[in-house]
Amino acid sequence: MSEAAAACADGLVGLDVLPVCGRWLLYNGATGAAALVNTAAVRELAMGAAPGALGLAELEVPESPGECVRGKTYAPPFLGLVTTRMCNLDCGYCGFRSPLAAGRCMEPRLAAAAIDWFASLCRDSGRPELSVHLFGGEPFVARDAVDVVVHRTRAVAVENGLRPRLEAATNGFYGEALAQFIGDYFQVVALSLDGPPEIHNRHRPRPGGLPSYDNVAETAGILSDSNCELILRVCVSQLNAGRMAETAAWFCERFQPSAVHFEPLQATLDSAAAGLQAPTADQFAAGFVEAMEEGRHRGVGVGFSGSTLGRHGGFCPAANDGAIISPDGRVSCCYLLEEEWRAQGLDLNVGQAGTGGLVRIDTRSVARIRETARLPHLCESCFCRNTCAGGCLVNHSHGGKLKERDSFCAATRTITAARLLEHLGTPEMGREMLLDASARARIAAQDSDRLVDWRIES
Amino acid sequence: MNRLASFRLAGAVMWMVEGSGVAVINLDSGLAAQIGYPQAAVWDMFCRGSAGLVEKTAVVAGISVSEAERMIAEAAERWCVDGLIEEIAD
Repeated sequence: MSEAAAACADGLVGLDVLPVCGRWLLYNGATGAAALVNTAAVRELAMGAAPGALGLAELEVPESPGECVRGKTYAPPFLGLVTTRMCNLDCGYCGFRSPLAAGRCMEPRLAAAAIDWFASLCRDSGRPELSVHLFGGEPFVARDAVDVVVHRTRAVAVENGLRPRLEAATNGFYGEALAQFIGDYFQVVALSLDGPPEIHNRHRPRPGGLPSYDNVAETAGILSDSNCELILRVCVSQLNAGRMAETAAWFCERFQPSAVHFEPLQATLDSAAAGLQAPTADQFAAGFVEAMEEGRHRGVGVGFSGSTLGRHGGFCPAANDGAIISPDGRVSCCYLLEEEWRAQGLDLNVGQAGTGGLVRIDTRSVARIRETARLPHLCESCFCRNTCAGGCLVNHSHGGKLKERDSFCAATRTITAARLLEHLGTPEMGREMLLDASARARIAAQDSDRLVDWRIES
Repeated sequence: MNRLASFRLAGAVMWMVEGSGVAVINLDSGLAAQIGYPQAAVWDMFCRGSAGLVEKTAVVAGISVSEAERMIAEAAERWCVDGLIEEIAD
């Protein structure tokens, strides 16, 4: 057995089985292969038959599952720069509102030092790309830092034979000239647009409750006309959970995005004060499958962070050697506010960057966080253990201590199953499953998805 | 001192961002130029009217402010000769 396979033997690999519309969905999360089979086939497999013997060779567990384990070297997939925590909007559900978050922009020299460090790391590890992602607050409020980030990234990429790749998460609330600049230089822009004006303005007002929709929609139009890949990100509350399909269809027609991503609102005290609640898992999943259908008709991908197929290690940067640098120079593996993860008893700092050009990474901190971000025990028997991998280390798995499945798990499980069925060319079956409350409940409630735990009565 | 502060883009000039810098063309003269880094950053920030051109150029190019001033002045002279920018009359 290879080193990678041995390292994966702690539970990432293996076949899973899910009940779907009178049949069984078999899934190999390590390779992404899936198949729909009948009960007799599952019984054979559960009794030890090799998948290949049943004509299901694609489900064989590979000798080397490859991507599912990290190497020994700290290897951030991208450099994250929080250019500022300041923001020009006053969103009702914002998780970044904090007195500690306000008032500071990243020094351009600090940004340049971080980019140089990451370029060296990319060059030395033989990567083809220099990938830099901007986060906030609203990252484009820090215009001086942004100018330097864009041009330093491109200059250093040329020097090191790397392909520059700039991505940003933004609220889109700014003028035409800045939107044109972003469209000229960024490869991927995730723009938060929560739906029609009455929803967007309720979710994402300017300070004083003033509307922001018109300006953000104008930005979306400019980015849509540019060469960048536009991803529209929709936060779903109880207000727009029933309008996800309509929103997806309208976005596809009006803005021709590369993808539309829906994420359920993360409930906070602020969101409650603003009268905004998270949708139920059923509301979200049912709305998502309808939205997925609208996207499919128009050739636009509809996504949800917990259910991205083909990904290993989940979406949480803390579980993926994240390197996210704050305006004060801290290198963390999380882009949330430090006080938020401190409140969970977590220390997600891995180093410190200085304007003098030095970026120090503490390998002991990296090792500690890797240990903390291991797959939660509860998730080991979940078929989403490769793609979701426990979700956000801070707000969902609470430092890997997830004790019971919650509504995020329920939504992730049902939507991932529907996506697998779509991948298998049977989207109608996924739709049927997601629109059937008892079928959804059956998938959400199955304790263990592992084939080795399969019983006929399950 | 920002030498480019007294210049503006010449009337018939168009430009676009490309892989390793910017591509510029004067539609009247037919002169086309490819500007690489770090001068591409100067061109972009000049054309977009970005504040703090000298200081940001220094950071992008990894040079001192006085070296950035010199680099900008040399670029201004060359681009003026090439008909890409023109001096603003007092």
